[in-house]
Amino acid sequence: MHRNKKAAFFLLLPIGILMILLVFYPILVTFYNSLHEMNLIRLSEMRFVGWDNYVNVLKDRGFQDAIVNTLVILIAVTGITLTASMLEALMLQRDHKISKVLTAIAIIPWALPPMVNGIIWRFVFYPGYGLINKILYNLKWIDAPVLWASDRWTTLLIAAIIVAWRIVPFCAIVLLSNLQSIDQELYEAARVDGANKWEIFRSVTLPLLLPSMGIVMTNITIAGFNAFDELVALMGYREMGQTIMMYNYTQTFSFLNFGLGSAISYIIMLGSGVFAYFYIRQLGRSQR
Amino acid sequence: MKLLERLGSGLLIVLFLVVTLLPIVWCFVISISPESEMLKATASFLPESPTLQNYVSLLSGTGPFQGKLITGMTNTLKAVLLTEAFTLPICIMSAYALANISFRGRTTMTMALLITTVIPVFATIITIYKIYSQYELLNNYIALTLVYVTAYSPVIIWMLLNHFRDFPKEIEEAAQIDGCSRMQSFFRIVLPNSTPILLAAALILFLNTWGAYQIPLILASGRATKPLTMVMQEFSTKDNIYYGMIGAAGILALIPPGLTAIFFRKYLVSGLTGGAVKG
Repeated sequence: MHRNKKAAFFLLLPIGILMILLVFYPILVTFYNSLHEMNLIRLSEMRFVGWDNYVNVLKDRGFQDAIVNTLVILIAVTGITLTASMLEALMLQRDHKISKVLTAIAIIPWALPPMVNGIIWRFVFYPGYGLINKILYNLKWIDAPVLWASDRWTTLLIAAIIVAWRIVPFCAIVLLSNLQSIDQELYEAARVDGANKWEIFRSVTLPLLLPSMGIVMTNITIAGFNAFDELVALMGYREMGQTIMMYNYTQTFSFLNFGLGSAISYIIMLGSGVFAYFYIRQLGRSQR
Repeated sequence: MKLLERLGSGLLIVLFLVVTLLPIVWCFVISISPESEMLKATASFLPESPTLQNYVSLLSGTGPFQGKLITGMTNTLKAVLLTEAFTLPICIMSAYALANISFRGRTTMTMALLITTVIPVFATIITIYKIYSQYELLNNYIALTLVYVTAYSPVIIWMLLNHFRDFPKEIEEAAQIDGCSRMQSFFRIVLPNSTPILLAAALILFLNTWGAYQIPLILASGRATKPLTMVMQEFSTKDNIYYGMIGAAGILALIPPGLTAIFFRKYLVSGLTGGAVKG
């Protein structure tokens, strides 16, 4: 037993050291920095300011906008992803001759770099004669190109579509594996009882999908919350429509104001802590 | 009724194919169009005279952006190889210890690892940037890789941990009774029987590192060390945006992960449903 403990210690030593050096220690330092006025260009002038950075962030209009933007993206991503991944899972579940091909295609968007996804969709929603405008124009629905992503709300909606496009495959595959584990006899029984397709879906399939809903929802939340690459590809580092991650980046690295940046990070971290709690609980449950 | 249902499912498949593939096809069309012809005021969907000029100039290092794409691709490949080489052994060791050896604080350690997966990048990266710039580790690929290791390990460890825990103890014990040491039985019995999950882990690491943007943006943004994802952002100058080049770079960047996902989908799917999450 004693030897075993020694073995465990050495096996866990590398990851332990790395985690302490590059995750846990930096987190503590970030908190320390967040209580200071601190500019990377004038490091010697660091001084303690208490909660000032936090107050300034919370009062900042840009921050409030960024929070709203992130929540809008989060809600839109949730709606699009849940609907689309459910449809995709049901489609993949049916035994088509081309099911294998469909699965192969379905997984592609998930595998691509988010930055590339952003670029691809930027061409689709290009405000001149991009793909969508060409289609609408050829259908004679519009006379002149629509200026996509030029105001705050359409930008957010397009960002949500791009993020959803990336995570739908994952969610669909999780839902699919859950669907396949449902006992066929339950469907039989419901059919014998005279239930129609919709009733079966609502009262048999949906409730039995609840276990995987936790995983699906946490993934949606993490992806929506962290939206960054896609937005940079879509619109660059402009202020309108920026998410809290982009706000955090521009405030920290454009102005090299590390005290303020650290405070923003901490506010975001506390906010996401709520989600984190449910996420860990979910994983703990799946362990059993 | 049956006919209607088949029609519905057929429509669903068409819609799925259009939404999934058309954006990628469109990006390809842009990439083979003479510079920006596609986005000019024309209603047609295909270029009049398709050209591979964008690919030629990107891959041969000629044209307005010289060797940028090749440098970026080399950097990305370097990061992938280093990340695989560091992360896999570290994760196998840790997952095995957490799965099979009971010691005090085991649950706490597992939970601490898992909790790091939901910490926003900026909560750590600002401080890491400061430390790295102090010790001149910015734009250093080993230093960058170590950050990737800490970012990707928790999920991989979780995946492997579940696998090792479910591995039948009897087989391992039988090998030990036959005179194998614990180490030998691990290398001869457990590891060879874990290839699917290890492959899944390696694939997920590849996809994550290949697509990484935020971390290198802050830690490796030097002219010579930028990865592919950052290079693609640069094909627009003050006077001109080179859409064709951006499209071509996008296609080149999506071929490796795209093909990987298609060929190894079986392993990826089993890895995914086994609790893995890609950034």
